[in-house]
Formats: sequence, C-alpha cells, structure tokens
Amino acid sequence: MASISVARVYDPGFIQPVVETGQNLGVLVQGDWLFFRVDHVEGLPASRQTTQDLGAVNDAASTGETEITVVRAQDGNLLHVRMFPMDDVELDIFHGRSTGGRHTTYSTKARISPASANTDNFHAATTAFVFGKDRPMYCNAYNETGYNLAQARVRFFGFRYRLDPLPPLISGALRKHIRGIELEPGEVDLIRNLKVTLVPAEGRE
Amino acid sequence: MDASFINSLVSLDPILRNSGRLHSSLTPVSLTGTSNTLLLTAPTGATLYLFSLTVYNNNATNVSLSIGTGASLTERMVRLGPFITDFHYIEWLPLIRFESDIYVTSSAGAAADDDVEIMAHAIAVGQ
Repeated sequence: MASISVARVYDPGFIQPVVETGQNLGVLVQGDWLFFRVDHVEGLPASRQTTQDLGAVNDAASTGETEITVVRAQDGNLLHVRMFPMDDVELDIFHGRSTGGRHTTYSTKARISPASANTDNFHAATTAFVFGKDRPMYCNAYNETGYNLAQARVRFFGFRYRLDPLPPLISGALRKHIRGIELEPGEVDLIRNLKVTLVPAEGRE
Repeated sequence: MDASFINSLVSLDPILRNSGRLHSSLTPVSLTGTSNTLLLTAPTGATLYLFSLTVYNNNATNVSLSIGTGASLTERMVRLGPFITDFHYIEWLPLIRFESDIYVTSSAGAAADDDVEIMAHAIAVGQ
C-alpha cells in the first residue's frame, strides 16, 4: 500500500524542503487533497527582492489588508515560506482577502511581531504555503509603537515546488486511501509502491 | 557608554539580530560650512541604526552637531557636543534610528576643508 507521511513543517530549526525533486506531494486545498509529482525544487533566499514594504503606518493605525505580491505563485507552483517583520510592526496574516485567517484561537488571532523571534528563532510558527495564483496571501501591519513609522517591511524566505499532477486514477485512489475508504483491487495495485508526503497548504480555520 | 553597551542593545533587539548588518563610512565627510551635509547613504530601502560617530575638530572654534535624516534634516539628534577644537572623538550613541540617509549640520562653519571631519558607523536593516 502507498506510504503516506505528513510533512513536519512546524518543527524547530531551519526551514527544510518537504520533498525533493521526483517525490510525490499531497496538498490540501479548499478541503480536498490534490496529488502531484514534484519536478523541481528551489530555494527562495531571504533577500531584498522577497521583501514587501506595506508602506508608512501611523501610530495606533494599520496598513490595511494588502496582497503580498512578492510571494505570488504561478499556477502549478507551491510556495513554502516563513516570514518576519523588519520594522517594529505586528503582522496579521490571511490566506485570501479577509478569509483564511492564520494563527487563530477561539477568542483571538495572534500576530507576528519582531519579538516573536525571541521564542521562535527560526520563525517556524510563521510557516505558510501559497498554492497557485488564486489564493494569494494578505497581510495587515499594525503599529503599536507610540510613534509613526515610515515603512513596514516584511521579509519572506523558503522554497518553491513545481508540480506535475498525478494521473486522475492514481489521485482518486490516494484520496480514498487517505480518507479510509476501501479500495478496489485495481486501485491497490495503482498506488502500491507510491510514497506521498502531505502538506497542509490551506490556511482556513 | 561604550561598545559593550551597544552589543547588549543589539542582542536585545530581534530586528537587529534577524536582519542587521554593519554599514559605515569608508572616508570622512568634511564640513566646511553650516549647511546640511550628507554623512552616510543608506543602502536601497534600508533603515539605519547609528551607533557611533568619529569626529575630528581642527577648527578654530568648538562645534556642536545636529544629525538627522533627509536633505531637509528631520532631526533625530540635536546639539551633540561641543566638540572642542584640536580634539578627536569616538562618540558612542544608543542606536538612533534613521529612516534613510543620515545628514549632519555643524554649529560653526570650518574655515578650511578637512578642519571638521566626521565618519558615521551604523547598522543597516533591510538590505
């Protein structure tokens, strides 16, 4: 039977690719699993080019929800990123405008501040995925410093995976297998030697 | 204040720990008047945290300095000094933030080039 593992994307330490080139990936998008063979993996180094300035923000104000264009993904690509603020702002993260709020509890929504790195040196808790071009990330930066800030920069880094869809018969069998639905004998043969890594690419609650 | 105090501040601040790097003058800037003078250019898109100034005053009179950002000098630090004539100083500063390029003005114009010379030593965030 297929060997299924779940990527440990929040483990402490440096960000690591969840799969290597040629391996299979299962991505949860809009509540459904989609399956791919990864045909290319590359790093996205933390750099000026992967930094977005959300603009000037006055004291006790916010920038408003802004699409993060520097981590837009092309269709057929999955971005795996972490982030940190470079100015003294608190970041509120969304997958999709006003939807898919990240870092939520029952009663509150955590933000990423410069001080978050004091308890999470490698920004592991900020790990996020951007799948294709239709579910971009949005970010709102709050200024609680007591004075106005001329800029609110957020820096991203991580990996890009280029995805090649697995054939529908194989994807269908994998989907049934993950949900615990009994497989037909032919389907068992289809996925017998597959190794698949699952990633929770969706930000919805 | 000395360099060890600066080290302590840098280790305290996650912004500087995560993305700071040293960015300093390579050559002194000479002040020959009281006009606003560019002291240290910020790397593209960077914020500067100034932690030290070296000041050499060979002027006939003492000088005080105002340090700020932008050509219109939005002041961040005023009346630093006086720097007494015929002295050289290394002045430690508690990581004063500048949104962009650092400019300086002097309280008294030097008579000749190289009479008042300044270098800035900063940490850049954002490059």
